[in-house]
Amino acid sequence: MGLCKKFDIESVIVHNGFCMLKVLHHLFLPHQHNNHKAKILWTRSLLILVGLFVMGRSIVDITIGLRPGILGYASQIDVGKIVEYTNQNRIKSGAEKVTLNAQLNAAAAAKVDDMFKENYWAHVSPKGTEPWTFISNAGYKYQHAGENLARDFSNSKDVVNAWMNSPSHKKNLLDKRYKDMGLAVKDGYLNGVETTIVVQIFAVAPTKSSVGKIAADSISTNEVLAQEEFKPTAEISPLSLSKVWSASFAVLILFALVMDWIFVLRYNLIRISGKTWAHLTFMWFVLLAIFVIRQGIIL
Amino acid sequence: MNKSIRKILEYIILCFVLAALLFLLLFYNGSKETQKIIIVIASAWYVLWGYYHHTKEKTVDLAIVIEYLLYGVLGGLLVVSLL
Repeated sequence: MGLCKKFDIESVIVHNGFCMLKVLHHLFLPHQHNNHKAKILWTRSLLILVGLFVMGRSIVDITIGLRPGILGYASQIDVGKIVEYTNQNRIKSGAEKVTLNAQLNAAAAAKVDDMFKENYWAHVSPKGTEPWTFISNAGYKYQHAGENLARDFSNSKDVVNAWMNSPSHKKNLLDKRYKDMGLAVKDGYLNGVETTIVVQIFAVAPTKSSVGKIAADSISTNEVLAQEEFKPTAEISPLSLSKVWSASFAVLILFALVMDWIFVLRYNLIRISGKTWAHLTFMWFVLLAIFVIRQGIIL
Repeated sequence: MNKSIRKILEYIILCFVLAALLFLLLFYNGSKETQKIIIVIASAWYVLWGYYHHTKEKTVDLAIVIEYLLYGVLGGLLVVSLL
């Protein structure tokens, strides 16, 4: 009886494995039963792929809308790392490290809140509020100040790299005059689209004695702020997930097209259909475009 | 013009235009609206190229046009959804 059961399970496994291979063979390799064209490349299948892609994206978007904690937009952007990468670049260029300042952090947070509240993406608000107003309102007296903005990035390194690749942002980031920095990373909606905004403020207080006092006062408070407000919430960023989702579809079609091309060449198949070479060229363009596109914007 | 030379030329033009559009995508990184326009142009270009190519080959038919259209739509969607 036991032997018979074991035999049954084995045969089921063998049968299922065989069925799976048959399905894959039917989906990806051209043969007489799929009219000499991989089933996945049929017009109907392409329509299904379009539907599946849209459905998958919608599920991600709905999940973000209903449970923002599951796929936090700012999940991969860590304030500590932005400080680290900023200071690494400053040291390389011969400038001194900047330290996080509680008042500048508050100014950066107020700026992000204002951007979401007034629905704008600019250094100056539609009401004419300049970045310096937020610094002054936070109680920081500055001699020089600068502001860098970024949105829609999936990780901290890309944010700093994007700033370093832009001459005006790089100038701010490496300015030897600055001693203090404020940072805020927040999620919200701009024009109805969920996004993450990063605000980086650099400043230096007017006198040497006051700089020393402000910096000394703010270091411990900042460490707590950074841990409490900007702790990463999830392992997966939806921006990376979207890229992987798109790339998977492109790779799947490319694989089927390559197999199709090999079989057409090998068996010298003649059929009325679109040109596999042309589809391959276009799908390569799509795959490269997916990797070339940088989702983040700086200002 | 020799048929095979014409075919090679058509493929070279297809590759060249797509490569140029890819370069433009890279150049306009950060400008989402411009990138969306570039992707729409790439998809439309591909469908038109397919139609022209098959017309010249005298193999154009509705199923083939729909096939190119679907590749254009799917390819465009895969990229535009990231912007």
